[in-house]
Amino acid sequence: MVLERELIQSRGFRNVQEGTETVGFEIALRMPNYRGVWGSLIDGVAVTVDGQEWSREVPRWTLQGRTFSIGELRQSTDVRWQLDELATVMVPLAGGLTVGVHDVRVDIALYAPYIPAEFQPSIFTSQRKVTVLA
Amino acid sequence: MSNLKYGVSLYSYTGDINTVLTLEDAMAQIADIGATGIEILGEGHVPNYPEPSTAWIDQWYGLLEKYQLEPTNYGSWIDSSMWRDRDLTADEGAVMLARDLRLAHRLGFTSIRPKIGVVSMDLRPHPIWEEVIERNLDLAAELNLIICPEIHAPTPIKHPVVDEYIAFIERTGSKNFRLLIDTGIFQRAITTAKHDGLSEEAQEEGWRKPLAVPMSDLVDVLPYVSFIQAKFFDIDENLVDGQIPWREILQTLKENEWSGYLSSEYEGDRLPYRSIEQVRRQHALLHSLEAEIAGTP
Repeated sequence: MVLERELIQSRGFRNVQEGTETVGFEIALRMPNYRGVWGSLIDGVAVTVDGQEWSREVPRWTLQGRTFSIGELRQSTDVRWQLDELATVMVPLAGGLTVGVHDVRVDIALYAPYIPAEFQPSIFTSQRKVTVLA
Repeated sequence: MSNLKYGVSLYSYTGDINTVLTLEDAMAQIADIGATGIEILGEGHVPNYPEPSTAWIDQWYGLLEKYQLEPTNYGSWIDSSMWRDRDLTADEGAVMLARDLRLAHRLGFTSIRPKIGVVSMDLRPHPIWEEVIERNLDLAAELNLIICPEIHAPTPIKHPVVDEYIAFIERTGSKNFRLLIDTGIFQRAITTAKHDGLSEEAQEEGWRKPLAVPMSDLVDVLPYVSFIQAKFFDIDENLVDGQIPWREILQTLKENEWSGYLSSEYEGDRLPYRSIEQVRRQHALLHSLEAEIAGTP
């Protein structure tokens, strides 16, 4: 299955329920780099929705069917974000987002050890309008 | 006699792969321009790396057969700083490289480029590099693979890093360690191509700046060179490349009787489908220059 060209995918943008409560929202992201990386090289994603910001330390990551806090991901040894696999990032927000179109921006931070430490991490930015259906 | 062969690295199609191009589409593009070699990045283009399914490996060989392509170079990484609190050990690095050697061999490659983490602004490789490579030389020989670190801007040929690699070749006497030259080191004019993820400062510092390595430096190391990544940024409608001096590069390779692959690495702007057209232009340019040089008495 091909992925959308934009890093922020339309598919997968939704509110997250826990029992009867809406506890946040999630976004599916395409790997911005030219290669996939081991999870420990991911330094998080800052998320902005309609002007409200969450830092790189906040979103939870689901990769290859496993869910991590960013702290856990930095310590991980056996999970990857591949070019042909989406990462799902979950942002806690009581009540979630309203149904409709939202202006979403992500700043994805990745380490590349072959680039001098002074220029690390690399930040990949993407912004687009995407729609929550429920 | 110099025998130049032409290939394409899937790196060229970054951004297009998995969005507007499947692996088969990319291979069809490579075959359509008469290229015979395909270069891949293990961590980029092998689904479920480092453990692809046998079904995928069967598909890979089926597509190589269908499009009459041979696997050339396999890009791998030795990420020497995987975690915040400690560096990779030589043991861990050696295991990592061995894993990629075996996978590259399983996919039919004959060359492997480990990209090693750096410890300084002038891109000195992490000191584990020597032990990691040395411990894998026998395995590389057994699998008939040449390990070749890349000489890449902003590191020129006349540099301690390259001197150390050559000293290593001399000391070990191994036929399984050589150099890979990235033609970005010959860049003569600035490029405005944007490199995703890098800050303006990082791009100015090394990824846009013309290094302009002279051809005489290439001649000096050519006996150690096993593979060339034909890096470029933009070729215009008149088949003019404003940054990379292809005529001089090809002339140097021909005159010094170098044989091997020139594997396209398009690194220009990442607009959908642009990579396909740019690689086609580069091959048209290289073929016409090679014919012209051959016709010169």
